[in-house]
Amino acid sequence: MHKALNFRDAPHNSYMADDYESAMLQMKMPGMQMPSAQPPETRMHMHTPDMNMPMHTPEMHMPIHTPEMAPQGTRMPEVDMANVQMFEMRNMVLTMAYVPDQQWDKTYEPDTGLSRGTIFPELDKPFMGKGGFLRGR
Amino acid sequence: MADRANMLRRVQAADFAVEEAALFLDTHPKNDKALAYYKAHQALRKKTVDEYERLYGPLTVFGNESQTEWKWIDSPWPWEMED
Repeated sequence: MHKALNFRDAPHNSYMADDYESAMLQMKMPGMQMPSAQPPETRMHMHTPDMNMPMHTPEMHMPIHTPEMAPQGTRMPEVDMANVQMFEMRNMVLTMAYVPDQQWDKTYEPDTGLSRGTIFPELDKPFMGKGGFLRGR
Repeated sequence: MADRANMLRRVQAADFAVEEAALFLDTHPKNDKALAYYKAHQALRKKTVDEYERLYGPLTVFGNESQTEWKWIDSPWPWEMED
């Protein structure tokens, strides 16, 4: 776990609370409690300053919620895994390469798969040299 | 010839589906959905290959079905392929 993501190591630093709240709304984390509804000492603290992390948008300061990092009295939300993955991406350090783990999802029919070069729609990314898009969107 | 090409296409598609599942399983060896997909498409591949070979002769040297004749040399050579 990246040090900057570990709650217990983070110094008290709640000036980010408003950013945090707006970021939460933006991310639409289901079941997430807003930190401003809690007494100050149980507020979530956003980050340890870290020269390796981009620091300029609210979303980049989001802590990752796992049970071991939950502050006392905070109800753990039921987290949508897609959102968590987006979350983690935003906390990743520069210059490091990551390959997200593929989940088994829908597949093309074999004939379509052969034409597209993959049976996995999420990997069907024709590189056309004119900007990224997913087929059919 | 169209039927033959269509059937060969079905073989290739089933074969590719099995290969894709195999690549996924290399990194997710206990994934139930991937294993189920593999099993189903392994069977589909076998069915389409058997069907093709019964009608048009062996696809590989592993597929000679005749006990009396070596059919491998009967299928078109690469320079004889029409489509």
